[in-house]
Amino acid sequence: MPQGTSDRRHASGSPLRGALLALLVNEGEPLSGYRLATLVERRLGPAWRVTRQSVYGALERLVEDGLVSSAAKVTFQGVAEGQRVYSATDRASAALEAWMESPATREPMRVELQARIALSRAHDAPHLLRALDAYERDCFEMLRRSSETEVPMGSWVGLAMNLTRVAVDESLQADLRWIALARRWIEEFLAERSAQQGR
Amino acid sequence: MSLLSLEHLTKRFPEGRGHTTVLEDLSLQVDAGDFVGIWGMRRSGKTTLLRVAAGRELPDQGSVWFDGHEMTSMSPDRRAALQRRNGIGLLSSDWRPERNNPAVEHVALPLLSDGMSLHEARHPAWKALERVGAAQWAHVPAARLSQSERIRVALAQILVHEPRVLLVDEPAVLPRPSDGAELFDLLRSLGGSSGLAVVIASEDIAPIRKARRLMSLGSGKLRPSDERGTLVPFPERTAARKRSQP
Repeated sequence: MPQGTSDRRHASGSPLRGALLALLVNEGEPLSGYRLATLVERRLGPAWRVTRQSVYGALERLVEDGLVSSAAKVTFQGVAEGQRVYSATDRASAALEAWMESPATREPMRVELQARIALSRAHDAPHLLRALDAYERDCFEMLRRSSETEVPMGSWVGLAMNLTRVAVDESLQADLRWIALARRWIEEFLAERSAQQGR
Repeated sequence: MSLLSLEHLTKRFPEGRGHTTVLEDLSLQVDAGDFVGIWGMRRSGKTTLLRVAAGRELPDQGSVWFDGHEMTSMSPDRRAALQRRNGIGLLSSDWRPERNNPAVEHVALPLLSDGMSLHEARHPAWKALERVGAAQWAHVPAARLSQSERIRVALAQILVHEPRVLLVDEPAVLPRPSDGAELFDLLRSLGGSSGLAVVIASEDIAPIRKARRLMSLGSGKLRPSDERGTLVPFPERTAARKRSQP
């Protein structure tokens, strides 16, 4: 397989892979997994719920694919430390370009509660109403967390981070509307059925 | 005791041959310095809730308490007095100045009905305009103000009475997002500096995203986001813990 095709393939995959690759190429210096996790969480925002474990997993795969190299961190005195640092390899820039150029597709809807509702029976309605309440609280918590970090516009990074935050806002707004609608439909259905049984 | 307390409110409106229940057994407590955000779809009862909380409308059932006084059992005159000094202010986004007077005169207007002269009212009106960052438009005729500037003047017109509770109904989504963000930050800072309690009801989440307490309004009920429900301990672990205790 030609090298370019291979890099194009490597660039696709999880957005976390792309984000880590971009950080390593753009920062231009070796970074620890901890530092990368902090940076990627800041840039993507709390709604992504990036875990340290997922960052280390993605870094391992990037190393396996030859886009990132890892080495023991060396102190000023030339002594190797226990902590590992990661750097972009020569192939990383081309892979990053390929990721940025690749067409974006709509990710499939995989909200667990939607699947639960899709497969539910009428007698599950009270459980679903409670689940909707919990899901709504989760949306509000996500809104609260995404409001904690504010970045002024004016720079490209500021613009990009604000666009990411607005995407979360819009998605939460749509979720809240869906929750309100689902709650209303289920409550109306239950009221109608209870009225029919009363007749 | 909370500064503003809504207790078991029910409000119905006639609809066709029946009625529609807009608020159903709804309760809410608001303390001094509180910042509450209420999210709700269109026609979910946000305006009704705020109007009842402000004493502009009476509920069919339940009571509204402000500073230890039951507003729902007061005479209309006493309730109206609460809209004035140190009471409850209600800001609606559809504020339209009736006359094309300078902004400062619009802000001074409520004080004239309290018996002040225009000369006396100008100073507190200036202060209120300064508080909302609108002093520079004090002499601009209201018709020449932008939507964002007009909202600030309307806010100053309420603050001139130094309310202890500010209720904001559906803050307008301003054409420029940065104007909106500044307005919402201003609303938040008003509470922080003076103990003013702020309650914002909105269909859009942007104005309420930084509220200390977030809740949703739907089917006549308020659902607070900070109520985590009852945690049921995992039985085996609880039993093991009990066994390990001396």
